[in-house]
Amino acid sequence: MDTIAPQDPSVSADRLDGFVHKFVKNAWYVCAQAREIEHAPLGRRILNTPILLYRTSAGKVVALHDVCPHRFMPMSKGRLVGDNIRCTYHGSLFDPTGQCVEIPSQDSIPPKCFLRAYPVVERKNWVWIWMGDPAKADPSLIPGANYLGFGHEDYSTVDHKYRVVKGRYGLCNENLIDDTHISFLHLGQFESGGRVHTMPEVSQEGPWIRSRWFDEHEKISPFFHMLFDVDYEIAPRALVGHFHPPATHVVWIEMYNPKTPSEKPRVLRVALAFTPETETTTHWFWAESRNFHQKDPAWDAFATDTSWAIQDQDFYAIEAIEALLQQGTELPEEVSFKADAGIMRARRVMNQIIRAESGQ
Amino acid sequence: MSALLDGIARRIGACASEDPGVAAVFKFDAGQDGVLLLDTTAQPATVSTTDRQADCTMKIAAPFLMMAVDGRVPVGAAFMKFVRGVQGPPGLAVKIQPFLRKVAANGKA
Repeated sequence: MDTIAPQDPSVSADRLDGFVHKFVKNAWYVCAQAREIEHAPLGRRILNTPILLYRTSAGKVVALHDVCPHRFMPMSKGRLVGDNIRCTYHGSLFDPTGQCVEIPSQDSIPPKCFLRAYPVVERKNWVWIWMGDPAKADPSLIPGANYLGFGHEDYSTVDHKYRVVKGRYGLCNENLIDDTHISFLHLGQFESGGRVHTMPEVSQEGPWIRSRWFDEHEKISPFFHMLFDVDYEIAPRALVGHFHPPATHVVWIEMYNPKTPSEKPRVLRVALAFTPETETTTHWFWAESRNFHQKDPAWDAFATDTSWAIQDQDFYAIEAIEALLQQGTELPEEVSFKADAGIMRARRVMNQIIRAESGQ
Repeated sequence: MSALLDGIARRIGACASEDPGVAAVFKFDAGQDGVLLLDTTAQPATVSTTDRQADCTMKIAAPFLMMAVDGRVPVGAAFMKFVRGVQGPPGLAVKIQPFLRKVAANGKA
């Protein structure tokens, strides 16, 4: 197979100790599914920062630093008093803005007794958090809910239970952008192995990386016969992937009827968000939407079963690589292939964003 | 017929009174091990290992079908990984899965 050298000479050097695990702070990340957040404390580590999430009695989502400034007790171990959160250790009470409003053992409240509040936005199925400079938290930067597949009148959505993968978010990003692993890691499930011979078209618009793979001659796998409920042996279909740095992806499959290819295709749209939990673990959010068999519980259950099985295969590879990286193994010089064009673009964009943020 | 298919038939038969949610004749073609016919047009559903015409035929090896009905592998995941071909309307192969999940849950109970 042909190989190409990375265009940015710093890419290989950055591969292991650089952007792959460095955080971009000025960005929106999915911190939870909306259904996870109730009128009760929920603790979650985001970008290696403990975050307390809860919903006020009016339904508004609150995101605060999950550490009591008094003696560092996780606030998520506490309890809600109305819309305020009380520390379970010494009883300090904080309001939804993070301001301390009561210290049981004294009347005065020290100025530094507060919890940092983080900008948070609820958009349909997902809740997004901004971990960087609050002044830069522009909600218009969040990918549209319809675009992600949520609440679109032509689609019904299965928002799978979120999981944590023991791998850095850069590995998760690259797994998604990389089409050619489908023919091997997911052997026989999506196609018959021909994808590796067809190069995707890769383009870039600002920081967004887009890839589109199209084939008219690839045999449909039995899994896709069932999932899309189509009986064509061969059909035109496309796999489109959009990467919104640093950690959001939308990918979709368009399945066309070969007899009437101008008709609207059956589309399976998957929105994924890879939010760093720590430098080496990642919250993996995955929601599937489809414009066929809407709200059919049989297809919802099939989507649930199969998404977990597919994720298990991806996790297997990501966690194996992460384990190897953490063992301090001496690694060969990394080689990239022509099919890695999307990944190489994504690395360059991520490097640029991280360098800009760190003032380099 | 293999002992494995016989065991699968017994597991499915134990749930024959459950609502299958779909009315059709399903064939699981296990190659040299034989076939398993599930007829959900009958009330209650019937299971046999006698070959006949079916609305939907799925090619799947008997050990993998057993993994689905005994709950070792989620039914949808088993179909994704192990069904090697579908003849007839492929949607039927999805519509029968809720019934097989009941079979798997019954086996675990």
